[in-house]
Amino acid sequence: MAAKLRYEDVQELYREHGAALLAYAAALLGESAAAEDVLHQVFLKLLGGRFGPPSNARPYLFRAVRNTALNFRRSRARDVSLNEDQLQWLVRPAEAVDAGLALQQALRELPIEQREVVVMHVWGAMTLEEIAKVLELSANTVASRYRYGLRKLREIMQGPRGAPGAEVNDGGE
Amino acid sequence: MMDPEMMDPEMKDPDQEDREFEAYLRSFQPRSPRPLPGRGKLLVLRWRGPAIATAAVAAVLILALLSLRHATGPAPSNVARVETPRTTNISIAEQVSLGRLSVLANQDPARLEAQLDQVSSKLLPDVRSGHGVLKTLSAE
Repeated sequence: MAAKLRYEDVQELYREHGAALLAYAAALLGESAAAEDVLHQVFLKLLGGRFGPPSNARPYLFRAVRNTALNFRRSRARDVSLNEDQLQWLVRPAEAVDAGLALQQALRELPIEQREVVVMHVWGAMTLEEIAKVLELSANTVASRYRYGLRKLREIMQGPRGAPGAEVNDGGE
Repeated sequence: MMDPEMMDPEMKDPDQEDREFEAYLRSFQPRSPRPLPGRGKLLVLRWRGPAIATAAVAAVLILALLSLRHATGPAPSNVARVETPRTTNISIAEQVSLGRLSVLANQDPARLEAQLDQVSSKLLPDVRSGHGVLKTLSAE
């Protein structure tokens, strides 16, 4: 962390990681509007020169978003309730919005520990080892959380609607 | 990826079902967030906090000065008036000092008596005055 980040550097980081970080913040907070506020807070701090350029940007940004989101939750002193949030933060091109909203709803049903690992690994393109560093956990713990989270998510999504393969094939390309 | 040595044996080879489901999840993409504010708005955001704080401090200072001025009132003429009785008191105190009275008692007792009369008329309340405290109390 040496020199101050330039405006263009921050914009570049935002373009590269903004969407994944928004998904992560939304998974933590349950509100995409609040998630965007948190994301902007993190990047405005970067623009304000309070932090230097991170050597490894992605884990650093995920950690910053996590800390800011958790502070945000504490300051609001309320439980995360995503039921009213109809804003989509997961989309699929050429697909009805229902599929994305159903996936978001299923994610909400996961315990937050599993949810954040799934979101970071699947949409944040982070390795389990990187996630372990961000969360300050052992790699085994993170791997277990991912595995259980993935299976539970599949169960939730397939539950009353049919066989697992059918759901996946139905939704996939 | 993580070191395979650290992984649970079950984790080393995720089953096909998990892979397919992962692929399904990855077919969704996170939505892009709204753009960051431009440089101009950023400057406003950056200086908005300090500007508000400065304005608040200035307002508090102005209010403090105004209330102080109100409490003190117009001062110069009153100050002069306060100084006068203080000078008189010092003069009376000098007149009734133990040393001075002792000298007078030795040298001129009659003058001592006159001196005490003079001092007491200045220091003690005038019971004969129409507006004196004793007169008022006796009237009640």
